[in-house]
Amino acid sequence: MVTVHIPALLRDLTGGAAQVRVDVPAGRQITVRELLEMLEADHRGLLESLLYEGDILPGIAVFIDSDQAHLGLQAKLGDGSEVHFLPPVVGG
Amino acid sequence: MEPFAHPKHGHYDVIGTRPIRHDGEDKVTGRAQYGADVHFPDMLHGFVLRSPHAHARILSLDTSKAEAMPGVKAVVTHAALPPLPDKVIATGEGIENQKYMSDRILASDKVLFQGHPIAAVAAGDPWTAEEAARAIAVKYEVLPAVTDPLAAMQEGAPLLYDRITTTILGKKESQATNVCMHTRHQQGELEAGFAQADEIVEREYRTRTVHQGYIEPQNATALARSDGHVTVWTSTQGAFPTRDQVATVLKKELSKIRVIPMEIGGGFGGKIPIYLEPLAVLLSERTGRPVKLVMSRADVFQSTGPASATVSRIKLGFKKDGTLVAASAWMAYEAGAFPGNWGATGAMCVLAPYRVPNLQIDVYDVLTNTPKVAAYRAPSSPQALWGVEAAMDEAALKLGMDPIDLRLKNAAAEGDKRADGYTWPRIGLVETLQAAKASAHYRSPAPDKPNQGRGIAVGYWHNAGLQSSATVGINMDGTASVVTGSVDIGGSRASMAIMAAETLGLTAEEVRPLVADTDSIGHTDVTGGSRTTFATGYAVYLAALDAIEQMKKRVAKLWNCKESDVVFEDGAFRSGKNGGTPNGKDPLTVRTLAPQLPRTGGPVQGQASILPRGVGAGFGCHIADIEVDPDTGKATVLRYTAVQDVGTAIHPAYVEGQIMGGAVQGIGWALNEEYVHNDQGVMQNPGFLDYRMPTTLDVPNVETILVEVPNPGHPYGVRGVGETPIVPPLGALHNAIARATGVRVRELPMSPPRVQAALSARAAKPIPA
Repeated sequence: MVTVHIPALLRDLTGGAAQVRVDVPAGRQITVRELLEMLEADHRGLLESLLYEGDILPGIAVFIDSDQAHLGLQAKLGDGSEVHFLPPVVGG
Repeated sequence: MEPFAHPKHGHYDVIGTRPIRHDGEDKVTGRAQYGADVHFPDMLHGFVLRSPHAHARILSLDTSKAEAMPGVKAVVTHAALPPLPDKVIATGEGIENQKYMSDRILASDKVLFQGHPIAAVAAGDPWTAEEAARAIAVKYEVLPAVTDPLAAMQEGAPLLYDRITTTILGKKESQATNVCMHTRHQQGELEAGFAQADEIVEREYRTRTVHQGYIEPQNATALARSDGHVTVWTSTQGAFPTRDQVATVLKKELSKIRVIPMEIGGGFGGKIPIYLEPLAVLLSERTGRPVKLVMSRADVFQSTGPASATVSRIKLGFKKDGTLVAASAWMAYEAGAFPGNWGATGAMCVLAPYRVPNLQIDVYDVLTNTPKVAAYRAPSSPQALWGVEAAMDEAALKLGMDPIDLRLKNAAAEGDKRADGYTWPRIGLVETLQAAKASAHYRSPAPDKPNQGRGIAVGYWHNAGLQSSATVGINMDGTASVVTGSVDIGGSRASMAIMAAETLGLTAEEVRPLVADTDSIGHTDVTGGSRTTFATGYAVYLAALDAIEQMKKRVAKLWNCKESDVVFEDGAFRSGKNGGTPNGKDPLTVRTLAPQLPRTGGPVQGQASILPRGVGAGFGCHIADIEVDPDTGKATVLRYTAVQDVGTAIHPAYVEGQIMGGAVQGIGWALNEEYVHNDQGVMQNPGFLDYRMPTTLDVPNVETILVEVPNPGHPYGVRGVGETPIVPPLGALHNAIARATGVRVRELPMSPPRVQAALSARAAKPIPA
């Protein structure tokens, strides 16, 4: 099971759900892209809202288990992973 | 990633010592070379013509008179820039549309802020260049301007663009607006949460535009060669990001641009965007000669990115025992004249220190006729958190609780969720609050004469990771050199040398640190985001380990043993079998091994390039005692203490210096600093006489208390340090003034006129604190 935290402004696409859980077959890993494609079947519009020219939106980073996944859409997810879409941290 | 255990924490050999900085002599004798010191015999000087209007259409632009002037070698306008696509890219420092990057460097059809560059001129001397630039004829259609983010959000406000709509992640609304981005975080049930609350504090807070105020103005010198290669000497926080931006704006290959970072006189985030570099390159390409451009102080204020003005509406709900049960934040951030997303960072910070089960945060980035805002030390966090800290103080008074106890009751800790859903790793907020409460300052009686008071506030910055590269070369006498791509703003040369020395078993003085240019080291991101000691230090550590691994092979050759039998412990190579050496001689050190490197295989140089995980967030708590002059409204800081979790203080003196510097900048933000615009959007105070930064006469000694909760994500436990300390002063001073006078000034800066006006209003009608 992978838990996806839905950005608050996209929750209209998930019927208001803040989190969506996706079953991942035991022993298998999926990529973030595959995860989003699986979600798109039930929550149309998510892909369009999170992607820009085929990649994750500039200004948004994929966080897996609270660590930034620099591979973005290609990052691998396993059973128990938690996924967030958050602005990457920069600074002054 | 396995967490680091730090068995030597608190007992390192070199880490935690205070050696003299390696670049110290050059800095204090004036030999250090800054950008404005760059000089070539055939060098030309540039001058930039800037818009006098905050918002205007350019009807015509005639450069012929300037070009005809004696001594003028080149004039460039937006037409000299290659057309760029309408495409958003990540710049390493937020996001930027390429087309807008180009328009920001030189205006095309409209000027969008006072100081917007229109043309650049190169001439044999700076005076001719300026005279020629002023001879350029520009016809404007002046348009109504808007500089306040709240005003810019209103229906009927002047629109900066006809086609910009609000972006909500990938969704765009259809109506043209100045609100370019909306960010929201939501957890739990907001209304139900507030319904549980026994006490609710709901207030509106405002901040004005402020500038980083670095001492050294922006500058750039470029030399374009006929083979298409260019070299740029500049004052930047990151040579590689500067190269990336110049390459984007000028559509050049990265390998054709060499950026040499000069010594830097402060940046604080403001020297991450490029301004002059492409202009210097364009002018050099047209003349075949080096061209230097240096901003004036007025240029710096009017044309470079300051920090956002903001409006925030904060609502906090508490149970009687102080438990925070619900919170909401609505915030508008000035974006300046081009779209950006600094508000999203504010959304990350606004409730970060606290556990809040029910919350909603809405943040809007709003276009205004002001320079595009840039990072400023913990960007967006001071504006976000000061209102929360002010409301926390009001709540503490209502609940009859000590203000530190109220924060301890709600402090975020490992495993808690931040407002955006991020789960905290090991953080040291609780330890920081406990240290603040136990401090000599807090335990001393609060000043209790009339108009005196004490305030406290918490600050937070997440700190960044990003990319870093380093090499560690072993000299034949056993000393070492460390080369990184990180510009040294706050003493990072010393920190890098210390970490290399600790790893290699040397002294800090035996390691020579060097800052390299873009042709001399692997990609390294900005010195910013409080990331350098963490990430580049991590790269230095790995490069030193790489050198050690190479040296183990040499030791194995000398000892005629297996490489796997050689270990490096406590600064010496030993035999893993018996803890000594196979031949009974003394263990080898880097010092004693180094002369034997040539005959065992040649030089040793370790290298590492990383994109580290495991960033450690920083929390601070500041205590301020102040006295307010009731006649003038002037607040004088009597005593100030800054407490911060720094992970591990690599060079404690520079850690303390970072904390003091951040606190002083925060004090300036709280008490005096602000952009003052007239109703046409023209800045009225573009100089240090009228833009009132604190001097040594305005601030007491800032006492520092270093709390060391090591970051498990770094081999030496490093957390970023530099940004967190600018956050608490805004709230701490607001709370101190409130407790001193009984009035709450909810608009920054709490300058004498604003405080005096509040005191006068209180005299007319008492306002409960």
